[in-house]
Amino acid sequence: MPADGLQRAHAASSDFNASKDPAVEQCPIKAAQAIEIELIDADGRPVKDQAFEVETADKRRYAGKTAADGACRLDGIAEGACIVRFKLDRGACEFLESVALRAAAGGDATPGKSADGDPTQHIIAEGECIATVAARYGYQPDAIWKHDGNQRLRQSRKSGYVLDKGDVLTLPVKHPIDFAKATGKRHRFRAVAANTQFQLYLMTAAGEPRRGGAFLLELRRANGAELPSIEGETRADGFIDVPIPPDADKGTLRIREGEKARAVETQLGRLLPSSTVNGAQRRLHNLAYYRGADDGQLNADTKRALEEFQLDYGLKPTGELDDETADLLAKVHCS
Amino acid sequence: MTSHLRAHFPAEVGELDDAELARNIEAALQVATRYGLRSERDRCRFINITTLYGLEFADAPEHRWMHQMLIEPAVPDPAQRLERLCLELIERERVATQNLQARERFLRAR
Repeated sequence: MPADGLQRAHAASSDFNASKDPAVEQCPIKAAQAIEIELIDADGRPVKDQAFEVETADKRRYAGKTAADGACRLDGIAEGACIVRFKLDRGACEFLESVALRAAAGGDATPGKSADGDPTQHIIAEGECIATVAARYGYQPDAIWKHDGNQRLRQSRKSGYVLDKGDVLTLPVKHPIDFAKATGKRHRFRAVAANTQFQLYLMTAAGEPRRGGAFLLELRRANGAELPSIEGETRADGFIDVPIPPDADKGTLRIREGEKARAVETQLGRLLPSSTVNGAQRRLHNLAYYRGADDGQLNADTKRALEEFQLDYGLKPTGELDDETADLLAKVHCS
Repeated sequence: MTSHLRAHFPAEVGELDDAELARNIEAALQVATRYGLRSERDRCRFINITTLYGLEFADAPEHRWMHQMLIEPAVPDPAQRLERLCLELIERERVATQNLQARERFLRAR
């Protein structure tokens, strides 16, 4: 457990001089010339890696990103009113409260502007949807999805949560809010970001909904970093329906089956629109009509699966992926 | 600094004599300077990291993200880059520990 030792060593490091010039002792009234900002989500959890700028009373600009605790402290700045500006669109951030400074005084912050510019469009990669893009760039999902520049995409895709690789989203001009806040305080803000939803239907061997079944959902980011696991039980209708962070990329779902626990690996956000062959294959796969590879090829097995699905749901069994079949597949699959 | 390391990382530095430890510290300080870390506190925190993850952590694929955090252009202040990295390492370990406990609890339950 290397970081366990790191936590204690990190705290003990505070005994060392924080001044950038070790010959200069820190000013004992430094706390009055500091500001802390903290960003949490709707559930009170820290929001990390969020870019922000602070413009101080003497017009200096400081840029940074929130840390793993959702906070950042700027020391050695001019006393007075500051402008705090997150790189979040209006509606994606709100002020909560100001409280007393918390962290110990550190070294003086370095002025500097944020290096990030705001892009005007985003090309969808595998595993992305409107929620992941909104979270990445600091918008509410609807602010992007309902933007005029995305009208044609809205017509071709039924939902912003099921997009195809290569789809282009136009990003609206961002309007961050300037919050005027005083030094000497810790200012707490809330990011109004949308979670994505993990939904899965579990049934028994007899085809009945699996009610009250214990599960453990382990989540990882694309870079392999672990996210907090989610424990729970399936609902009365057999569904697991839990919010997950937009940056969750892979998961391991553990389900208890009597004395044993079964683990199912899952890639998150990989479901393409049902109008694509790959998207149809994956849905047919999940609905137990198809056993072949999800390779995007309209092969004989896929056609046969489509025919069986069409027969079961009262459509003409053509084996073709027409609009009617694609829409019904999405409806039956619930996505 | 040597007493700090011996107090907090006995397993990592226990086999090093004082001269070897001093050489390691000196090498780490040179890297810390390249990352723009100047205060005693920040240099100490950087040495905590190199003691755990090695002086060449930036070249290790699994630790490359740590180097990226230390050069993050959106955070102009090197001290804040380091602070973010330290908190990230601590948070990752906290989450990993909690997840392990949750998995053991789940697998034990009947």
